[in-house]
Amino acid sequence: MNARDGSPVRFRFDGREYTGQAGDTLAAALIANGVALVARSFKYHRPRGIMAAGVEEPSALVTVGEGGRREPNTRATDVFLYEGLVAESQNRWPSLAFDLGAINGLLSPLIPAGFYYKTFFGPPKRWLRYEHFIRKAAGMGAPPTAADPDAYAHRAAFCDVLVVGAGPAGLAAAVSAAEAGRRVMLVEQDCRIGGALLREDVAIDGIAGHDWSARAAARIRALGGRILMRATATGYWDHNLVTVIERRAEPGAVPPVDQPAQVLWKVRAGEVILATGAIERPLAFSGNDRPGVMLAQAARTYARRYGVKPGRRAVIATAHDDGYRTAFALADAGVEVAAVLDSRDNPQGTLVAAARGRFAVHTGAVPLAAKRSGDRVGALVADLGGRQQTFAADLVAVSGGVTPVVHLHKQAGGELVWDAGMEAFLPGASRQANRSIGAAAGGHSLAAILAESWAAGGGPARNFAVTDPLGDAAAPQAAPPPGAVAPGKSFVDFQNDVTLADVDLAWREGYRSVEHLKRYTTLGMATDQGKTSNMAALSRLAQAQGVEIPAAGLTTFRPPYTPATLGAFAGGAVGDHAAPIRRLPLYDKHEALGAVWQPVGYWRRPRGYPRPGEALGEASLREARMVRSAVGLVDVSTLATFAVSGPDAALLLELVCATGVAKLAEGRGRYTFMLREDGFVMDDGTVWRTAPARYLLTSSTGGSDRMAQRLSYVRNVLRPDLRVSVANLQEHFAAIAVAGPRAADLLAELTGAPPPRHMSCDSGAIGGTAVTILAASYSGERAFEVYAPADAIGPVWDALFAGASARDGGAYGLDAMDALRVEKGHVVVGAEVDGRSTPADLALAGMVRKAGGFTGWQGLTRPALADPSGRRQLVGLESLDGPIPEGGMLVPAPGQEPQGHVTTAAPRVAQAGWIGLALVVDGASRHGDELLAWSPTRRQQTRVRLSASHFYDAEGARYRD
Amino acid sequence: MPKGRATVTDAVTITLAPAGPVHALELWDGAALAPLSALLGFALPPAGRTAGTAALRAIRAEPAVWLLDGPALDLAAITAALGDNGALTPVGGGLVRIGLAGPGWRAALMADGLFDAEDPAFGPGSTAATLIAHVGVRLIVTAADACEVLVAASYAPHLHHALERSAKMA
Repeated sequence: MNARDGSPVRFRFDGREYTGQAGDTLAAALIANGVALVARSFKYHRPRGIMAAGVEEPSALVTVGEGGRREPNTRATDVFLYEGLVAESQNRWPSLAFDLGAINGLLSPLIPAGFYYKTFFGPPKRWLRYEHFIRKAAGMGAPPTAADPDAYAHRAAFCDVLVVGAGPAGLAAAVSAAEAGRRVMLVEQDCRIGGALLREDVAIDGIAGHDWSARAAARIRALGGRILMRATATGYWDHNLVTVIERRAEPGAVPPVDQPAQVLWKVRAGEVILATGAIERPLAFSGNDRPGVMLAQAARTYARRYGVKPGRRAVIATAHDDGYRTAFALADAGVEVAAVLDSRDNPQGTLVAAARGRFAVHTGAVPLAAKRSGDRVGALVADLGGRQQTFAADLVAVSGGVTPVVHLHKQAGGELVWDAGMEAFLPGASRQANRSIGAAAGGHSLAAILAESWAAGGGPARNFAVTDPLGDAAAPQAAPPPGAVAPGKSFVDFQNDVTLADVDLAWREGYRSVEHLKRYTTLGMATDQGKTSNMAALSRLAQAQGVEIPAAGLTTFRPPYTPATLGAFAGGAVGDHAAPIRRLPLYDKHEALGAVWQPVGYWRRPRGYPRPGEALGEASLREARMVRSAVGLVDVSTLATFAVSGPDAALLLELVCATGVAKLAEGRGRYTFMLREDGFVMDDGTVWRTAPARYLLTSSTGGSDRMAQRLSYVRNVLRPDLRVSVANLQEHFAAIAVAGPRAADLLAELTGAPPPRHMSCDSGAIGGTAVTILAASYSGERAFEVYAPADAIGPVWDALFAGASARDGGAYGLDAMDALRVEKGHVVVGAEVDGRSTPADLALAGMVRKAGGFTGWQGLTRPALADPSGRRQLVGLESLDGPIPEGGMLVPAPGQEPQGHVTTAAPRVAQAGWIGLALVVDGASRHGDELLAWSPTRRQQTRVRLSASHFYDAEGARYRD
Repeated sequence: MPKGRATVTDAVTITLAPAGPVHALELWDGAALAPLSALLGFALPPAGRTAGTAALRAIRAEPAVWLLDGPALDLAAITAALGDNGALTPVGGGLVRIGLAGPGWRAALMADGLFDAEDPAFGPGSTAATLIAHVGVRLIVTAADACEVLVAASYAPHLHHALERSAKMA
């Protein structure tokens, strides 16, 4: 037994200070301090203590930590003590000892399983009122309301072998694999290596179990293996991906400096070895949830590993040999063992024989009822082969068999097979590269487990010498189904307060499927996921159906295996880093001008540059008018830009673009657009012939990745024979559009040469930087796009901005750019080009290359697209009232069928009023019609008149030379 | 971008700098391979590998694309060697070079990553394209204890933050 000579650790529970020792779980420390009442149950508020010693604990749920580190529903058995730990019981009022909610227990006949399905009929809104009271009367711990101050992280890992569980099986497999030269990763949810060896008095190859474990871990590390402690494999996904959540700080604790509280590991393994052990089953009898009723292996763990006595006088109720080990462990720890109750009629073997010589062993004996003494158990009434006897005891250690932990195996798609001897499901065929070993595979003989696990790791066959002073135990065996049940509640699911009677009731009410039973009774739900309850419920259901357990069905093993903190899933993707933010090369310049930033995908672009006291809308209108009257600069660095080079460059472009490219003269450019295979417009842009065999293709910011994929597909899949190169220059180039009646003058001054004519391109230098100048207008004014390498664009901007400022110009943002292009009637991808528009819909049919041969040409010839009638077509909108609701429906009157929708709305730049663009059924022939732009969700409506889409300089006189 | 800034932890030092005149070399047939090898002094490397030295390095980027990197790049000579068999396009203006040096460089790349940078086979002369913190990157192992990350400049601040965070964990 642990001498409990570790360092003292102070902690608080329900406001009272206690002292435990380093290495204790909160549960162990509470037991050491004589605290038996730890929690109140979910529904009936029954007093609950500590039942288990691991993550399967269904009852002792507490809230740990304070403020943003507050973690509700933490199993007291799964938080390791640290100095200053603060824990509180939950689901009680006003106190744990005196809980008024316990009246629910008295009302239990009125609130059976599924009572709210039977009670709360009526309109759904009434449920909101009921729910308020139900939530107060029953439930789990309250979530934190403060922000979590800690960081979380994600990390990838790859290995040849991932071993889950560092008990004897996992250790043997991991050492074997490491010695075979494989990359090994071993994960263990506990803070100590050893698993079951921490509770057993055994030696392996002459070395005490816990020392053997430590040596094995050291060997794995020495061979380059990675061991993660406090790390739970929570999910097993396709392609041998296992997610592991590693706690670097205990619940409620402050993590080490610069360390995350938890790390979500995404482990891709060549092979996964599941050494996840087995969970002991409780027994069903009246009052089996009283504090002091504990799983036998847990009692043994507290005595041997933690050195605490879980009671003073114990009765062990068991269905198999393993329970006897607890009798010895407790007796060795100084606990009086009043009796061992074995449900078997005639158990045999060295372990049983040894026990008979030391304890009062009763065979054919089953517990009937736990009697209370205060809040904890005071006695156990048992049936001893037809005779009842009461044993005074404050500890009832129970063992109803074991349930192998097959969760990950099932999550991996594996089959289960039924072991009639154990009455348990064991891992069957695997669908992925995984295997189960040890107790998880139904093993029980330590020597055999070690040998098999060593072989599983890939090492040559070898045997292990196991020294067990108690001798071998017989194979695990399940408890017989409960017979006559004594009055009182016999719990099956302790976390959700589901009793045998509830299961029986569900059966009587027609719930035959285990999935229905689960949802009707809430059995196996919540944070526990039925670790200690599912088999008992299945057994009861099978009993009612008169079938074997496998025929009764099985619920789904869903990840996570144990509750996971949401922060672990978010990782570092929170706040400003929730998604990547793409920063413009000229970010600092815009920031210095007071830019208001607009998210555009991952980009942040200047929306406008308000002056002090100026609203954004006012600023944008001022900027747009500045472009109309003088000159403006807008950052267009986000545009997709591709260099297409080689003898077959034009051929490639004609496959991608729906307009003519081949006849483009060197130094000239043109507007173009691209179609999807189905004939709808995908994107638009410009194409420029900058050299005899070199073109520059630009397209929209939002479609840049899509266009890159399209070009790659055409280049590498459709026509790998072409002698052409496609280079994505979106990041290489930064670009500044210079627009306005003084733009040409500005460029001439800075370059010392006449600027290129409209839709021509040239090269030059600005601010000492070589630039490419494309003369194209998106604003309706004479305009140019100036391209330079992004890492050299700063001086170009400075020179242009200084020159623009000297001409009453300056920078303008996206809102102004939008207002200008709407007034000019230019479409934009994402608004008018919405994936449902053909070139004809957008009045672009005249530009389509008649000879075809481009992507989308065949789709475009489909009758539904070729016939323009009935299609939504581009029109302009003139407001007859006020602002036009962007996105609004265009209807004859509110509530009527929409005939189109507003794609963009903006204030007029050149004069007062509001205009917009829209897609309207047969819109091209309906100019002059009046409709209502109606947005019922925003409660806005504006009368509009349909018109041509050009509101400004329809003939293009302002930008032509 | 915090150019030239270095983040130092016990395990790794992170530096940022513009990538410089990196060029994409795309070949549409193999006729230029021999003259290019003669000019560069080494053969263009196969998939997953780099060749050359810090003065002039070739990095296999796509089936028919190599990145040429280094101060000794002679654009005119390469263009001449290429003839009509390929194209050379400058791409470095929008790239940032993040240097990771120290024993923790491999672990630093695993945070928010998808690629097995801890595989011992991924050593000097290796290269890979992958995602880190949702950002596309190219990894170039330059020494046993050093790696370069080429990343689009717009994503560099985000990636730098992610690598700083992971370096502290490494």
